[in-house]
Amino acid sequence: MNDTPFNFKDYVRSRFFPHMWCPGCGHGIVLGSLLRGIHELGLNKNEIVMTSGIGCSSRISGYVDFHSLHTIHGRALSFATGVKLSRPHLKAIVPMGDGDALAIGGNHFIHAARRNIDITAIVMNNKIYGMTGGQFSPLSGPGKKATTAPYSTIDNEFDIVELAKSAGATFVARSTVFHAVEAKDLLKKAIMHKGFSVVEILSQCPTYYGRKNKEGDAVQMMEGFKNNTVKIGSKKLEKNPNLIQRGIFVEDTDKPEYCEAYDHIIETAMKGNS
Amino acid sequence: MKDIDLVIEICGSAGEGTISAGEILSRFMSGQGFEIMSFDSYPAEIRGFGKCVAHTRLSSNCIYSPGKLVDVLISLNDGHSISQLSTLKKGGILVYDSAPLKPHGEDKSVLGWAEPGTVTYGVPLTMLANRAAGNSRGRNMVALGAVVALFHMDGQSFTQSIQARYAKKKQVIIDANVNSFLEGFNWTKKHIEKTDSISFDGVIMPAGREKLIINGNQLVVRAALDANLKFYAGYPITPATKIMEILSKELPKNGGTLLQTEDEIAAIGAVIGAGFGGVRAMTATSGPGFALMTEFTGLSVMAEVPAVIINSQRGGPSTGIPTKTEQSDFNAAVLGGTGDCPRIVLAPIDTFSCYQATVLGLYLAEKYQTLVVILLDFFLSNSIRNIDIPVKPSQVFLDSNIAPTKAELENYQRYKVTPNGISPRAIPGTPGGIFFSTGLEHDEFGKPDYSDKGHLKMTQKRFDKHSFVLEEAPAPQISDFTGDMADIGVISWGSSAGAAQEAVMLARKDGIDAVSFSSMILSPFPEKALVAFADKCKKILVPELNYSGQFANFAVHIIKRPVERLNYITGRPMASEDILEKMRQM
Repeated sequence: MNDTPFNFKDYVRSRFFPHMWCPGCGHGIVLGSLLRGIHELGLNKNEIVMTSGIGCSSRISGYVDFHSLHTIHGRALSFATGVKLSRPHLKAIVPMGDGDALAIGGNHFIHAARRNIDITAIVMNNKIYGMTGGQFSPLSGPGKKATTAPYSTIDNEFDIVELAKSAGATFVARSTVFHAVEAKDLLKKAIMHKGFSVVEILSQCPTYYGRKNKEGDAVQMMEGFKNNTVKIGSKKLEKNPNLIQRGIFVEDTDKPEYCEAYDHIIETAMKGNS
Repeated sequence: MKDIDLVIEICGSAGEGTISAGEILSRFMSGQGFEIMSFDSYPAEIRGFGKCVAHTRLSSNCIYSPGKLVDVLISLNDGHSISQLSTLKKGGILVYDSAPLKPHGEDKSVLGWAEPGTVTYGVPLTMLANRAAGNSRGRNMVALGAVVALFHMDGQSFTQSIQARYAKKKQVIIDANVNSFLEGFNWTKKHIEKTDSISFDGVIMPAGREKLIINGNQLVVRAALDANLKFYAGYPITPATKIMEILSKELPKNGGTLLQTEDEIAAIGAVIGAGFGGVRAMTATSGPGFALMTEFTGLSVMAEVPAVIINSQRGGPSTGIPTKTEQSDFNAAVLGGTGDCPRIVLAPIDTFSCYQATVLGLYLAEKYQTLVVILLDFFLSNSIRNIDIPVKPSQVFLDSNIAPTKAELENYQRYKVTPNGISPRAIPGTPGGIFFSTGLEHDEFGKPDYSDKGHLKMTQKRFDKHSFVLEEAPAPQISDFTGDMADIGVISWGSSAGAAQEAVMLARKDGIDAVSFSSMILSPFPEKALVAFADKCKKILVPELNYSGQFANFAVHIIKRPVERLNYITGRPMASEDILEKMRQM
């Protein structure tokens, strides 16, 4: 743990600023929560690798002052898997958007979860493709407006938590950018968890999702996160079962982690060699 | 001493021991000091009764190609062997089962279809196998016994080869095989009157160095392990799967990691991830998988992260013909992908150079921080040669990353423009070596930069770096000119090069003034050498195993004149006989 005061500038590449996010975007709050969490954990910047794909959220890897590999749309977890297996002592963190993680990257997402490899996947869910200008994503859900759904969407959405759980992730949590402190604490736990951890953070895209779907400005959207979510098992759910639950859904420390399991393979193979 | 140069084929149904009989024959011949080249063909489906052919060329001299026409056809199955008669030489030898379990009419017997003039030897394979072991499983060994007796080979040593092949099996099985062989051997000595002229009498090969009997896939693995490979990720696909299978056993023994991924996309992603992590990493695939990896080839080049992809080509496009050989991924490997994307492409020209190409590929990828594609094909992956044991690479080839100095780590510029284009690369975990690596166009610090000047500067840097690679690649193999000008120059690449070089040697014996050019490195291509070569040839011929002449088209653009083409997509390896025939017509 770290008692020194947090200084944002210690953790970012100032050369890469100003950032490219729109005014009111929720992603900066995720970045703030993440960096505060890393600071509180007292992690050395030199021990962290961040790989990311393509999209607004993926740009985080440029702003943080960690070893970072900014790659291809949807494939960040595949790169992270290679990094982690080649440098198992490094912490691997993968920020992703909802389209990046679960449309084009859906296959890698479920297989990384299945392997239980020690990577922290942060899914910044703003229910829209922001960087390409407001197309619906697999998280938009039916009845939403998007530039590719002018008559509203008919596609059902994934539930990231349920998907991650059933695919085998051993740490699954959800928070929102309104609950920045809670998000920070969940990210800390996820990063320290040995195994595949998923943290979904609901974030707002006022520029596209908010405007198209008449959800108001950034502040109104964040108030939505406050009003429409509750802690897991809250009594409010009895009255309104549609409220979105926040907190830790899975925390399993018994399942073997992939790199450690592979170390046993190496041990066995080397015994046979001698 | 007389020369031996024979092509022997064993043809049977899957499960009749065709391939193992071929393997024993090859190993025996290698042990006797001959050069061998063997190639099996079998159906893509594992089960069933498909046709299997074990093809072996053996020679007291250097072998360049598998040989198109066959001297001796050993038939274990009449139905399948009939179609094999078309490649039997005029006056060639046919050994067949004279008393099969179910007698068949003349229209279904291989004997009935043999051309007049064929030397035919009927041996009761089934009957003799039954006599030796109580069942007909040993028919393949009976046939080998007959051949060894017919050609006066060393029966004693051959028995030892059979014992060695089945050494790990139960004694009953070893005995059954040896006894079947001896039945065939003795019966033939007693009953067959030899009418052909093939004889190993008096052929004594000098005891050579110990040989390695190996195919291209196995050699790639050996080379990769010798060259410090520490990470492999892959997805099963014919004909590259064997590389992953062997590595899954061998890599962890060397402290390395093998990952079987959800698809080829994840495989190349993990390879680039491990490359970023600073270890030597590769994947192996075939056309369909290579197509999926295309986007990543651009990333490897753009973000300057080492990656090696082995693409063992098969018949294409799409799923195509998975168990047949072709050279039709030249365009995809050398020119494929998007953007201005200089990548390194190596194509071994024979089994032995699979070793060199793999060592070189891993070295170049790490040093030049880029993508290396190694083009094998079904034939190179699976054909078996006996080769000298490769010399392990020296230290220079084992660690080629150019790391930043302490001074360079002050205000570290990951993509610094340098005279040779190589920017010193820090490995994650290096204090002060934190950087941002990206597939976006970037400045020297890695910061996204979309300016026209910036894009030009970095594109130029990547191309400059690429051009330096040529200095480290083996020079093209060019045969000697007899005068100032040659009549025909044959330009070849990959697995066709051996047949082309052999065809040129045969043509010269025939009085045709021919020369050959083949290069293991395809990108960057030794253009100056090719232009100089072509300037000294009146006509140019480009033989290759694809329909559209992918390499010929590429060569034309370099030498700026038309060429003669010879294209086959038969699924069989290139034959020197066909190239020679084409040269005669030119």
